[in-house]
Amino acid sequence: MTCEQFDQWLDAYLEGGLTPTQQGAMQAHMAECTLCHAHASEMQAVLSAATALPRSIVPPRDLWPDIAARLPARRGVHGSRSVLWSRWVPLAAAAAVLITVTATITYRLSRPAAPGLVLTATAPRAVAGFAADREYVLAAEDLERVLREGRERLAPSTVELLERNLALIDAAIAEARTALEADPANADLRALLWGAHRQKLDLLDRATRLTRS
Amino acid sequence: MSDPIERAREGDPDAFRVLYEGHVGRIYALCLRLAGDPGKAEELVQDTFIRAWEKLPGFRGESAFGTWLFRIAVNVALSERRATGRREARIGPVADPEALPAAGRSADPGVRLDMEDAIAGLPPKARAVFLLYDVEGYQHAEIAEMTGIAEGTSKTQLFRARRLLREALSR
Ligand SMILES: [Zn+2]
Repeated sequence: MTCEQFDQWLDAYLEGGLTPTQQGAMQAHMAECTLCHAHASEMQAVLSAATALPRSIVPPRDLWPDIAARLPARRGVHGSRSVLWSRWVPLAAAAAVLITVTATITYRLSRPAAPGLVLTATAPRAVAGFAADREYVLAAEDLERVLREGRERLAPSTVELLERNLALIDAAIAEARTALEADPANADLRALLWGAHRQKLDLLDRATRLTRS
Repeated sequence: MSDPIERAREGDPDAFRVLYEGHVGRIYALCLRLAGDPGKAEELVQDTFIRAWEKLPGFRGESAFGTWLFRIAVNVALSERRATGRREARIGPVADPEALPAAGRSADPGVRLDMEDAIAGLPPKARAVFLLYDVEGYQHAEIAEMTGIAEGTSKTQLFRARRLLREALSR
């Protein structure tokens, strides 16, 4: 085998695409050619480094507001801007949205029970391997701290509504996480989890602003 | 209550946001590596999702939504590069050696950053094929379909990209 031939077969060799005979020829060449041996291990290092790269990187800033502002309306079905990014909506309207999300997640997970049955006081631990999940949890905790300090300025009915919705959304987060632990590659479940996190931050953000108004 | 794709296709921006949240990390990572510049990557991500929103009524689910979105991102990035290339060609090359990436860095910020730098130094088509095959795990047939290049070209570009990277990383 020539060094040129070795190089031509190297990719298939590293990907396990050669016959046993071809593999043997490659190994025999490496045993006597230090240069090709070095090339092979360097190429193996390139492939390992490629595999080790993070496949998901959180953008340094939230790009959604700019995208939302540029989305052309489609067919007038949802012609009015969504409640989620209007500057202020009453909590009751937000509640409807949250219940929708929770119901969606419950539906996606094929749970027969009504949404929000699994109430948890606070969102439990983050899903292993999902750094963004943890970031959302920390962001929510920050807002919850601010909210606790200002909550006596909110009407009791508002507090009650807020807590009911936070419980619903925490339940949704918990359900999405449980499902993700069983099926970590499921992009739809991840989308639901991030969506629920965002909704929670939106709600907390609006509520904390309400305590300051 | 149907799934987010179905609702986004019907024009519901809330549902589209759910899709955005689920995919933005992977699209940003791809755009960052294709563009080699965070500011440009943000633009590409935004353009990708705007175009996805516009094209969503035509999405029939033959491929996974993530793959479909990747295809849009690759096309946005490659067509943007072609447009930029044309503009730069009209203006002419900038004769500023400082503006060129340093060859062979003395500082070693770690294997991963070396790898990111080396990828950024690849020619655009080889870079796109390498990212899709070796980082993202797509097959040549899928890459051909996503980028519009021939399957054989995808193989040739991968062969080239890997050797350029090996050379850059072994310096
Ligand atoms: Zn040799």
